[in-house]
Amino acid sequence: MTDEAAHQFIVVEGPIGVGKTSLARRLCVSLSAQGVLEQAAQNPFLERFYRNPRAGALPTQLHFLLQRAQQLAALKQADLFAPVRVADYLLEKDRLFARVTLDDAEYALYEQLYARLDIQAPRPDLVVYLQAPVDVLLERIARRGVDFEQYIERQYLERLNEAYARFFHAFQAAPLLIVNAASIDPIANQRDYDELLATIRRMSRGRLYYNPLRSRAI
Amino acid sequence: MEIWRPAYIGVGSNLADPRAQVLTACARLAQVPRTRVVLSSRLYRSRPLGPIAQPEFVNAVVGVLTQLESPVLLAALRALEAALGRPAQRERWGPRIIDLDLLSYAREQRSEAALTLPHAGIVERNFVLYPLADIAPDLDLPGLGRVAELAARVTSAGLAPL
Repeated sequence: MTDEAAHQFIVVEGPIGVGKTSLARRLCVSLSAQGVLEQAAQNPFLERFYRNPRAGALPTQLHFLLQRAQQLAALKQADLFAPVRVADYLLEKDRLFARVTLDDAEYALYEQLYARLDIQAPRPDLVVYLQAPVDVLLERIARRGVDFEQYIERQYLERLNEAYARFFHAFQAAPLLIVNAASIDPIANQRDYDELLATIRRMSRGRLYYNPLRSRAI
Repeated sequence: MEIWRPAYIGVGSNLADPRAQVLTACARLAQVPRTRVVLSSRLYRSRPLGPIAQPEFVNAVVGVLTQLESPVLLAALRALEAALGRPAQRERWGPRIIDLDLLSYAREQRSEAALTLPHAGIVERNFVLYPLADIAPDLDLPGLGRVAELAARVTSAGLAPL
């Protein structure tokens, strides 16, 4: 017997730039898990959206919605190896973004399509929510240097951060680990990663705030 | 297609500046299509196995995520070995400029002439298990067990981090 929870499906969530994909990838290799990763770079509308949010929002959202529907359908196919999985998004994220980026008429259209698709997403047994203030997100977006992301506006990130905070405040569908991602760097710092991984492995229920107080030179 | 699978690759060399060969191979692994290098172990120096007198090896293990099926990934590793100057004929215990072994791929178990998964030599090789334990101590190798436990069963004789 160990005190570790055998997670089958872990989701890492959080706003743009917080580091969810990098963390999800590392978890995949540490846990020998399949990665279910967003393919934002393959969304041909995303750059247009960042340059001109009002005009680009609807095609961007529809592309993401169809992409996720396809990816989650592929997951349902029987897999002999009963794999552990790590994803870098929750399906609910799609709606959360739609609510932020679309106007009312567009959102109504989006909702119709969403209902039609009837997407079945597997239910995670742990969600890791990475949280960081907008200044940190902007700094990380600048550092990773994806050209078209440099158009992302502060105000957009503020609305997203708020939408995420509200969403997870009400979230009850799975155990939730809320990580203060401004105070740790689980990608560059091995000790931060090891401690976070140990916490993830132990966590089996409820809601936990993970906020290691550590003085760190910035 | 849209799913990424974890794979673990052993890298070794004992010819022509082995350390540089291993680092080059790790860098070139990042260029394999639809594959992403996620974690790399420390580099280790190890005494060669087998009957032939030859220089010490440098070894490392790299953890990747890939969208390639295992035989396709293996073919990419063979092609990379050839590109890095390894002759096609593989002498069992001989010196080599670069050696890329597919150690484990997702939860796959195979025993075919061309590909055995997990790799048959893992359990007795400290130069595989120690670096693998650097990046994935909790990895459960199908049919073999947990990496940290397997590593604890072999001595570190002849092996040292660089």
